[in-house]
Amino acid sequence: MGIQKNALFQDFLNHPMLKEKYGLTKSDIPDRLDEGLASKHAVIRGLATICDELVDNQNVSTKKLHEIMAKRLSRG
Amino acid sequence: MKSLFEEWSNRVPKYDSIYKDSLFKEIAQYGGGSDEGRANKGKDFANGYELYIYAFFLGLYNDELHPISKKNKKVDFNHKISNWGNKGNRILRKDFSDIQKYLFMACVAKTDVDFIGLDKGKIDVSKVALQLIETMESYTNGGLEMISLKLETQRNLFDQPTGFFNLIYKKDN
Amino acid sequence: MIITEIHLENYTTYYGEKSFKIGPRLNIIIGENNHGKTQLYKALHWLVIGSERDLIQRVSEKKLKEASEHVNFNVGVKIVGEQYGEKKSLSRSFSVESREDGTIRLGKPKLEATVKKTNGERIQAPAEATLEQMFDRKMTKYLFFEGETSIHETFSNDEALSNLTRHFSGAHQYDDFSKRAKDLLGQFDSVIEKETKKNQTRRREYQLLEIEVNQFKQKIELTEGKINDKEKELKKVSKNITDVENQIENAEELETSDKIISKLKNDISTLRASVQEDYTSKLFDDRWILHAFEPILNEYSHKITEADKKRRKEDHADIRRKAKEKGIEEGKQQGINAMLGDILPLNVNVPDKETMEELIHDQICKVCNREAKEGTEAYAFMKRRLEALIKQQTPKKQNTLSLEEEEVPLFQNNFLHSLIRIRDEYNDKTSLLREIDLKIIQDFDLNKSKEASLKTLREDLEKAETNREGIVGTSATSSKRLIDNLVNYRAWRKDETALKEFIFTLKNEVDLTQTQLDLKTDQKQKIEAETAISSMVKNQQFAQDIATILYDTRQKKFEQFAEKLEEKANDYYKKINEGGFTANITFEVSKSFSGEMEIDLKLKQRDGKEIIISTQGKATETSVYLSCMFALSEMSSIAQNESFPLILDAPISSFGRTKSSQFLEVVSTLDFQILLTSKDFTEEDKDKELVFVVPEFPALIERMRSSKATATWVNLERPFDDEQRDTLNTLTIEL
Repeated sequence: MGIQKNALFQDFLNHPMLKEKYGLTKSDIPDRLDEGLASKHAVIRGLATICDELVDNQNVSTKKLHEIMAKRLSRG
Repeated sequence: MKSLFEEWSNRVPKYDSIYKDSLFKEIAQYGGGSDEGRANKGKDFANGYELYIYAFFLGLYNDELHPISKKNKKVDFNHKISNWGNKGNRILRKDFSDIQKYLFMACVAKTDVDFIGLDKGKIDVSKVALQLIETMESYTNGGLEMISLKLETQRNLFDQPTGFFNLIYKKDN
Repeated sequence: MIITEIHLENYTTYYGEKSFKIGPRLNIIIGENNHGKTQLYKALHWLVIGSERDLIQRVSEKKLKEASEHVNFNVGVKIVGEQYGEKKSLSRSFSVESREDGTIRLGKPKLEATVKKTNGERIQAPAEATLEQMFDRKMTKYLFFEGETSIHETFSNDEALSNLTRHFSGAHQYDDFSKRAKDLLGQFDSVIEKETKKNQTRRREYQLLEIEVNQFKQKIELTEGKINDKEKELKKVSKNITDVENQIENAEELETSDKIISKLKNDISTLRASVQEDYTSKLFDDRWILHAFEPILNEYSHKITEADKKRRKEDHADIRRKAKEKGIEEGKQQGINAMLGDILPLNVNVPDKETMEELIHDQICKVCNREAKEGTEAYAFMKRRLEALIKQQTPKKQNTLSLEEEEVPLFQNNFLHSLIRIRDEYNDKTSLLREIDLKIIQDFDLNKSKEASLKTLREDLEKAETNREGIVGTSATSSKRLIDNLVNYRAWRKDETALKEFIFTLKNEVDLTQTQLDLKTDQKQKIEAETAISSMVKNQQFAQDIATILYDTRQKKFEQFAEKLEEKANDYYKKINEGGFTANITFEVSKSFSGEMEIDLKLKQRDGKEIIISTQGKATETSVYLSCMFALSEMSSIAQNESFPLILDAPISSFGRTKSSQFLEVVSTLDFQILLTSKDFTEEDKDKELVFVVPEFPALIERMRSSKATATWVNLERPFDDEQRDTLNTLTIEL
């Protein structure tokens, strides 16, 4: 089964960089993955994308991943 | 002129032949050899005269004056008293030749000697010497009897290094 | 996955069909050596690994002997287990055919699996897949352990521990993500690079920078690779050095111990030689035979004295008579006789000449302490005595026929003289006679004390030899290797220094190159910022940050896992060692230069000082590793929602019975499945030719009853001949 998407997402969100560099507060941090994908903060969207794409489907190519990521990040 | 001591010590005392095999050959080492050899062969006395001296004192201390029966044959080991206890070639052993004097004194003490007659020239010194020898042989005989009996009845006592020592040291064994 | 049953058919000593009921937690298999415990372990191992080599070794010889022509039988191992709510059975078997010509043909082993679904339906299942499900094949190395030594070998190897941790912690997944994020970043980078190159104005400059940046990156990567390798080497060498340093301690200890033993042996031998028990010889050499001679001496003394007196009396009387005969008046009698009259004079030579001369010179009789001044009668008496003495000592002249000499003396001889001398000489030595008893006692006492000393020395020698065994025992190597390692030690020390220096140089290089890289990257990014689409640049930034977050999280997870692992391992360790000294198990996390997460197992005192595990004795070492094993097992079941049974053959053989019992009680309370074998709870009565279970064991089982522990006793059926393998048949007895 492996690790849960959400758990993974939460692990990433604990990184101090989000507070220190991006100045995000507790309210900015989503509880669930789907919330993260729709977040107004690009970096959060990016992290959510990683979890969403990679957990179940490791075979996605880097190129494809880049495409998805670029779209997600740019969507503002 | 020789002294009485010299006259006496020039002789070889005898013992009852019955003890030749049972004692002298058994527990005394004949024909020389080292002390180690003796120990290896299981002999307690380095030579015949040691056993002789031992038996004499044993008989002396226990008052066992038993003259050898006239019927019995007497033998000796051809070793003059004057040589007894000399260091000679014996390694790891000491000289105990002065023991001759003690033997002598004991014989004199226990023999009825007419000293006056001797000094007056009425009695021949060799005769007196013979008297002393007879005393010696008699005590020795008594001692040999004691040893023989002990060997028969309590042989194991002699397996200890203290066997012979105990026999002569503690009179009541 | 929990095993519930094991079935063996004609597998080695398991003749016919034999079964084991397996509980969900601790399962103990006891029995004497060579009665079947290890065979059970091997059977399970074979089931999982499925080697096709040496199949014939797996066949029960007893069954083989029985089989006559045309008889086929099977050899196999089957387990039944529960997983995901389903009952699964897995078996590996092969056929054995005994042919006409006496040869034996073995069939190819096949793996089969069936699954009984929750609805009760039993179906064939894909065998290999089921096997993989039931036993994570990658982890088999860490689930099966044959013997205590293999546990040591695996866990003392840090790489193994790191691998295990990575796998069990699920941290390997973070490895994947981190890598993917890095690749992704690379993708964003290349997009920007493409875009930037579209711009002509600074293209050339940009391209050059690109090349340089790549070169620097490559250089750094290469150098980092080198550093990584060297650090691995350094770690090995340092470990060797540490091992040897412990062993040096041991080697020095060993040397000291050997010196002590050698000295003790010498002392014993010298002392033994000095114990003189030749008491029979001492009778003569030390005159012990004379210990009771004093009364005889006194008798002699007395006799001689009496004789001497008598002689002197007669002599004196004779001289006086003769003098009378000659008509010499009493008053005019010469010599001493005149003065003394009837009194018996002393012997003429007593005192001796020198003494007489002294008395006369000092004019005093020193016997009665009275003056004998010149001119007195006493003085004259003394003088006359001296004269008589000298006269007696003067040799008589020959051929002088005086009136006196014509006379025949009463005493022609003087045998008594030497007898007297003997008396006097030996009376003086009386004290020597008296000392003999004391000397005898001293001699015996001395020997006694020597014997006592010998006894003490012998006891000391025994202790020293036991101690020596202990020193060699706790060192991981034999004593020969100890000495060999000392030789390598110097070389290793040299290597260590050289490696450290080299790594330092390389790291400096990396730093330098990194600085250069950063500079060039800045320049490159500046151009990019100016020429590329700003959104691309922004995205690249995000990608960079995301990559960093993933990379850091991975490290953090590993560290968290290690922390948790450490906590649990210590819990187990304290439980196993209850009552005994326990240090703390620590897992030190580090990152290799290439970014690999690594874990280092160490044992530390409360003050932080490290205790080298391999010096603490086998039992302690095993306890530490087993604690780690249990901790890993527990955590993997949490992390992966799956657990696998631990199958251990004689893992605690160095514990001894008491500690084993303690250990088993603790283990029975743990919430995962273990199968282990032990030889400590049975004993063999060689005379009666039977094996029995020790009485402590049933009591132990009773105590573990509530935790669903099971115990099975494997015992070879009697009679058997262990030289004849076809007589062997293991019986399984449930306890």
